[in-house]
Amino acid sequence: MSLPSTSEQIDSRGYYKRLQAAVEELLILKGITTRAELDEQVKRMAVRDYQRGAQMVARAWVDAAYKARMLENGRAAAEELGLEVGPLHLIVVENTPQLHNVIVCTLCSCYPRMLLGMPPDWYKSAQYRARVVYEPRKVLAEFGTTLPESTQIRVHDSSADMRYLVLPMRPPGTEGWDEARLATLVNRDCLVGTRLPASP
Amino acid sequence: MRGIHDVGGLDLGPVPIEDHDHEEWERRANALVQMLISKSLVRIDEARRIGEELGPNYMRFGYFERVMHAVAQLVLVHGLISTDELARALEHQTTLGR
Repeated sequence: MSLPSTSEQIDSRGYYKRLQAAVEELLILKGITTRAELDEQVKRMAVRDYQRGAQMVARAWVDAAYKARMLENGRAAAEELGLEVGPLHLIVVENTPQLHNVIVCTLCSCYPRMLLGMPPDWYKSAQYRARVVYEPRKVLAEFGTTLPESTQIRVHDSSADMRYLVLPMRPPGTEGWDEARLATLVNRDCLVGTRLPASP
Repeated sequence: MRGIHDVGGLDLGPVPIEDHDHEEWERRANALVQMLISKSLVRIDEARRIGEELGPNYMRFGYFERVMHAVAQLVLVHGLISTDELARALEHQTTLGR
C-alpha cells in the first residue's frame, strides 16, 4: 500500500483523522507508546499559551536586570520563571522607537511554541511566510499595524533549533503598574511582532 | 532548485489572517510526532522533508494533514509498523464509521 499523495486520491477529509487513529492504535499495540503518554503530551501542549511569553515580557518591563538577562539568554530567562523551553536556542529581540522586530518561519512553522503555544494558521500560511520577509510594512498594515516610516523593521527567520520572541515596548501611560497588570496588555501577536501591545 | 515549501520572497497575495481551534485528531497527531521525536524514532527534519515531497500538492493539504502523512510514511519506512498492518488498521477505522 502506498499513502495517497494528491488530494484527488483522498475520498474525504476524514482520511487523516482515520490515519491518525490507525497509527496511534498500532504504535500502542507495538508498545512504542501508551494512550496515557499521548494524553499527557496533549495536555502539556494545551497548557502552553502566550500568557507564558506575556509573563516574561511583563517582568522585563519592570526589572531592567531581568531584561538584560533575557536579551542575553532567552532560555535561561524563561527557566528563571519556571517556564520550560527545551533544548532550543531562544533569542529575544527588543523593540525600540528605532527598531521593530517581526518573526517568521519561511520554510515551515517554527515558532516559540513552548512560550506561545501552537502557531496560528496565518503564521503557517504561504502568504505570510512568502511576503513578510520583503514587504513587512505592507504585511503589518494587513494586521492593522502601522509604524512610523522612521522605524526600521527587522524580520527574523526561525529554524528548528533557533526560535525568536519579540520583546515589545512598554506602552506609555503604564507608570507604576505591577507585572500582573502589565501582562494584561500583552497579546500573542505582539510577541510575534505583527501587532502592538494594547494601550492602557 | 526552489522546493515547493521554500516560499520566502514570493508574491503570494494578502495574508489570510485566520486561525482555528484544533480538532482532537490534530492535537493527537501533534502528540504522536512529538513522542516519536522525543524517542529519536523520527527526526523533525525528515518529517518536514516528507511533507515537502508532496510537491505541487503541498499547499492543498492542511498543516496537520501533512504532519500525519509524514508520520505514517516514516513509521512505515523505519519499519515500526508494516504496510499490511496499517492497511488493516485503516480498514478497521472505516468500519468503526470514523
